[in-house]
Amino acid sequence: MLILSSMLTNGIQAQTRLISGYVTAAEDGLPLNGVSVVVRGSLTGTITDDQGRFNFQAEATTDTLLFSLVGRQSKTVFLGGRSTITLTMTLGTTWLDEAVIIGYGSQTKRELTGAISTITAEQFKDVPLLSPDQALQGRAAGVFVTQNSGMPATSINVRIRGTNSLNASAEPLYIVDGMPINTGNYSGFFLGGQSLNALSDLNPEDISSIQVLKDAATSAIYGSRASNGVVLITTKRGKIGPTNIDFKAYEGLQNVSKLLDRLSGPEQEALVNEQRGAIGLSPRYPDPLSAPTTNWQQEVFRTAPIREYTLSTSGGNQQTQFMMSGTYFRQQGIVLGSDYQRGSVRLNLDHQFSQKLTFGTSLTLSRSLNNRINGDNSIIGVLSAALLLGSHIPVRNGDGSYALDPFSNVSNPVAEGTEITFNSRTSRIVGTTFAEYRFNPTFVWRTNVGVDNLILKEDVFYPTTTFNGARANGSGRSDYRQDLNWLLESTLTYSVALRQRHTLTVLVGAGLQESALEVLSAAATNFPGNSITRLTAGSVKTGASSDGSRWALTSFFSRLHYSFKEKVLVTATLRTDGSSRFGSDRRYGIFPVGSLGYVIVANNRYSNSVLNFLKVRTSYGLTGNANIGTLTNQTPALGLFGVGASYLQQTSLVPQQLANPDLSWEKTQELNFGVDMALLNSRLSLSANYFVRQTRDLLQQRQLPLTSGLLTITENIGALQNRGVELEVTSTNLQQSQWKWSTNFNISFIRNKITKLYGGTPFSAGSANWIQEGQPIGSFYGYQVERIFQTQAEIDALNQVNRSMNGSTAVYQSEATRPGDIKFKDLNGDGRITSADQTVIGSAQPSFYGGLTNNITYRGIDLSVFFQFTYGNKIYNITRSSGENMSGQNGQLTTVRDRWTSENPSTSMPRAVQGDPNNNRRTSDRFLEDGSFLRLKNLSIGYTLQSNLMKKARLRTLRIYITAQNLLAFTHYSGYDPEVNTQTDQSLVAGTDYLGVPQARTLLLGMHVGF
Amino acid sequence: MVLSVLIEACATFLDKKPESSVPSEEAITNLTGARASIIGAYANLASGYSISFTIFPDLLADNLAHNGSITDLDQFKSHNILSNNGYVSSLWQSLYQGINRVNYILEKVPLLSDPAFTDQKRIIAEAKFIRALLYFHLIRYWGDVPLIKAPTKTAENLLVSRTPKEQVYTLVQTDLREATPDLPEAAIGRATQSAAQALSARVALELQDYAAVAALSEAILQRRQFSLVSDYRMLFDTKNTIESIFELQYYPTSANGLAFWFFPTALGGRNEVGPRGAGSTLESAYEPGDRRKIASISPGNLILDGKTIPAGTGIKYSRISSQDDNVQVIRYAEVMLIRAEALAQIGNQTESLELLNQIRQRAGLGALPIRDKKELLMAIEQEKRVELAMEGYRWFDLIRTGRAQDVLKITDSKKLVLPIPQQEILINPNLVQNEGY
Repeated sequence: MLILSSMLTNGIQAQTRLISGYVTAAEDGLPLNGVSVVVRGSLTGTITDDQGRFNFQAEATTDTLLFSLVGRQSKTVFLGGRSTITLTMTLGTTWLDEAVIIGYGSQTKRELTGAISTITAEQFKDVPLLSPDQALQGRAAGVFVTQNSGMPATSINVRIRGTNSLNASAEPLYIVDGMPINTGNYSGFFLGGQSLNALSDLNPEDISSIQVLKDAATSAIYGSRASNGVVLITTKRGKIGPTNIDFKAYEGLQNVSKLLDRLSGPEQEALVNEQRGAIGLSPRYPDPLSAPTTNWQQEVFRTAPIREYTLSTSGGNQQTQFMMSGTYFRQQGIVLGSDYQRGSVRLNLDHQFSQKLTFGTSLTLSRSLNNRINGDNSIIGVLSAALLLGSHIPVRNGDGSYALDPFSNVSNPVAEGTEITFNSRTSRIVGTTFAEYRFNPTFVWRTNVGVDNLILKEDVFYPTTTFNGARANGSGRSDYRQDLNWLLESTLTYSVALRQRHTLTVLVGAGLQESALEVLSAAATNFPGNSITRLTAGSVKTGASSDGSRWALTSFFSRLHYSFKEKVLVTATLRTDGSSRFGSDRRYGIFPVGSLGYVIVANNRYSNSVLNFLKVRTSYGLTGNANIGTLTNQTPALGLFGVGASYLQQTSLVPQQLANPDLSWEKTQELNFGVDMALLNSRLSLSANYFVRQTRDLLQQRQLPLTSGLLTITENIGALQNRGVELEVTSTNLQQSQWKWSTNFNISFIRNKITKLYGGTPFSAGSANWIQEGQPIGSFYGYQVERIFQTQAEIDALNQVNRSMNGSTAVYQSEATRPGDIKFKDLNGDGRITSADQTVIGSAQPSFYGGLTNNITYRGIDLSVFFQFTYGNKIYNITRSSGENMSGQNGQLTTVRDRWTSENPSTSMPRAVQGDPNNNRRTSDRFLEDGSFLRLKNLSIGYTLQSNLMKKARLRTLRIYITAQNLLAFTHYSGYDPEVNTQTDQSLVAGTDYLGVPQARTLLLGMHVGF
Repeated sequence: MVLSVLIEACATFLDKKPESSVPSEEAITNLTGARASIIGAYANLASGYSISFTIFPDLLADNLAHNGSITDLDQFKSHNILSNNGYVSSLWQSLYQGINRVNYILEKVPLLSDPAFTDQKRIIAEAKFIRALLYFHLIRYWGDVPLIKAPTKTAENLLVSRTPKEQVYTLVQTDLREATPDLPEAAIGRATQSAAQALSARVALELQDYAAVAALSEAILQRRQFSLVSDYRMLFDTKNTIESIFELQYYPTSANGLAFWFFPTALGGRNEVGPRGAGSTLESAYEPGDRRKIASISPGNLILDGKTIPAGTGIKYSRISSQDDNVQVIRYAEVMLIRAEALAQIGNQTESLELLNQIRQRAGLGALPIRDKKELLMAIEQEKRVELAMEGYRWFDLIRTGRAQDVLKITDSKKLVLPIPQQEILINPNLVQNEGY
């Protein structure tokens, strides 16, 4: 690389000439400062000064200049021999000339041959965001974002163009200012299904734009990590001009928007007595009517504050531009005991040392403290315990201690929320530094060094007042994890424009990346009281361990972009990655892609025509996914013995994993057809894509027969397909001096299908999910309810039929089946209910999803309304399955009032019976619900002080706003929140509500002052 | 040239070794590896007995009720177990995991030759003992099971089929016979000659080879190494008593969940199972004056660690704080009782009754008068139920004597074996499900 670059410095000695000029605003004739002036097809150029003037040395052959400035329409000027240019620029940019960040460069939408969705800071400025991935929700076609839990800083699922993997990560690659960052869950603690989200260390306030690279044409430059899509996050940078100081703040309150209806204490006790009576047991509660009633939901839900303050400053002169910011964010959870706060600072600097040498940096430091609580998918969570414990149990006993149900093993929700300490502290540094050298106008060399250092320290303490702490006289554990991820990348770009017809840009680059994880963990029990929670106080040290892992990636990449008259566009990309994770014979992968675009109509000048711009484009290419292994096992290809459980206080060595020297990437072939158009004086723009993605060699934990003594082997097996249509529409409905109204709409129709599994064998995942060829990921599998048995005669008749078919003692369902129990469907017609009577009963995949934003401005008042929707997906509601089981001590929903009894021959709710001998609760369509919803995700109303008043107040800007988040949801789902999933780390588990925490409804007041 | 250096550098850069594992082929190549591997096999046993091996035989029978929230366990109680039952699957998995561990040892350890490796034969014998114990569990729960004698080294050729249980018994007997001479006479928490002989006797009883039971138990008696402790409660308050033949050892750092499963939530347990509740008649099975009752089930006024244990709680495993109750896989009382049963079967009623009365005497009960063979066998069954309650015997005894359907009121005889896990049937077409599932 270096050798190649040194050759080029001595290369071409071009003839140059001085080009100068003057740029003014069309509306008032005042000089324009900061206009970028670039020779088209090259990186040569300059910026106008505060007098609107510019001058620079350009190649003698230069014939076309491109002028651009944020907020103005870009202009292309043909020199035709002139060396002085005077130009006026009109307000507003056309959609086509917006720069789009792509991997290792940028392009205008006009030139783009791939599928990219862009989200700008403007779109989420009034929305309280904890992490950048939240900004993607509902705002980009083909991007499906599920906020699985309402608990702060828990993980979020982002699926770009469908779920693309079964066992490897299906999350996109996130790149912040050129640095591929650590993502995912680093927590060493299982606190229910919700895990930590490493993206929450990044402050969304610092983001200027997010580009989602969706198809192979745009993502393949990231090769082996691209097949789940790539999210490029660009942070705000300083601009030439006066120094701005901005202060932004909001304060709000959050609460739960819905409570479930549960039985009162007396009803609960009467029900338990009835259950017991059904199997001949004596009543447990002699006098149910005297039972107290605790509203457990009210005990654990609360109105919780959310607030953020950001102070930032930016500006710069011709040589140096800067952006500095500091933000404090705090969000308490709506469930007792949950509290998240983060402080972060950022410094982005750019310096032009000379015409040739530029360097700069992006650096952020953040620190967060997350007081976590046990979450869902666990019977000891705060909300889960509140839902599982019966209303007849008081919060506290007469002596002040926390009350428990002596017949149940559910903990006390209030104790769970207030007594246990789960502190997760992160310290994070993400920084990149670059140097860029222009050997001459056509050759640019750029080197980028990036570091992402993530430190997570977790402390857990169970005091003696809790379920877990009581038996061990206090129990604590501390984990320390550090992941140091560094990157070194160099690129060389050659750009040339020939005779105003041909432009050619060639990029070549190479990179190294390495990640080193360190893990330390210690645990202790038997503490002297609950006041000292550090492990040093625990007299029995129950654990001490240290572990680590490394992975590395080496890459070579190149891209060629050619355009003929801005009409024919060709792009070809090639990347080669070597990964440490794979078998020594399969380490290197090659990822090529080609794309073509043809601009059919481009008549900006004739703005009266209906069709202003029309481009068709297509791409086909190969990308990969290498994201397997666990945090501490980054060598899935090796046959290993690991450290097993100890015995007799001696360490053991046990078989851990089987070798697979052929282990390699998942490969995704993607075909994309797209069309971009602008209509009606560019007031309506539309971008549509059709894609087919075939992913093969899926990295899978293939389940081994258990008789092997091992559980799984990591193999490249199976295939799946995602295909779909995405549509993004932006329209300026009204553009008058006082009224402005614009609409953004996106919708996606994506179909997922598993096309091949190992041996064609289906398997189960999570509680009710099912993986089967021909079915989508997230299918549900179970029995089908036929009806409720009303008489013993019906049951006897079925048993009789089965005896004649299957032998003397056989029964249809269970020996204990009685009237009031559910009759499940005998799908295979063998006269009895066996596991073979299960079938695919639905899927968590939506038929379509999308978002709709309307922005209306009248003078200083602005209104933004954002709806998010999904349609056709199913949810398996385990919360209801436990709330309607009528077989044990669990707190029950009021829906069980309609249960079958001989007096109330219900046809929908079965009878109450201890132990559920008929297994009415088995996985069936009884608990499968429609998960479609339309949600008013965000509603903001703002007022910006008019400019004349601002001048008096010596302010640059002043805006106040009110935002309501999750204000309304239209859904048939009976649980708290249709946007739910219990286990976020597994792609195979989808659409399952296991006592999940709903998202908060938030109302906040915000302001922005600019000096 | 430059390129080749670059590629070379990249290859080294990409060579990342695991930091807490060793390559399989290097694992059992020396005596430390061999010793660590046999610890792994014991750890598997310790994990199996930490809940399922110990609790299920009483839960499936009439000694334990299911009072907790795990719905899969309701199926055990109602003998309506579905093939996707998670506990059935983990029981199967745990047993074959142990078998793979010992198969590795049995393949690799005999190949080592190191004069310093003085315990080489012992480790091989221990591996055989453990393999026999694991297969004995498998046969009794499922009937015919796949017989696997070699370690799993690749993902190929894993689609095994079921071997007739007679052949599996042959391996169990051979393993135990070969293991016995190479085992030490005494050891804490590890297999001994007596443990292997006692297990052989247990297997012989299952196969109704009463002469063999008598001979094997005679050998243990002759050794005079073991005797009944005078106070029954001492068996659970004290670790490794004179009565203990093979006792799995637990520590706060490698604990088990037994006390946790038995104890009420207020004491830090999860109240999952207990002798009191629907489907258990254990409390009424004790004769009046049987001291074992209050040593096994809290009468309500028992105080442990300053905490009152509610009435009806099973207290054989009571170290709720440290969770390090040992599990007595084989104790002398069992050897006496299976000897009594075998002697009754072969007509030596006098000695049989004498053994039975020794057990009764320790429990504070009077001697039984001589009865006929049938009555004597029933008395032994009753004595074994209360003597070894909640220690993992009852279901297997009732199945062995053919009385399970009668006593437990199970109408469908097909439910006397467990279903093979559904996932296992799906993955491996060569495995045929038990009838009735």
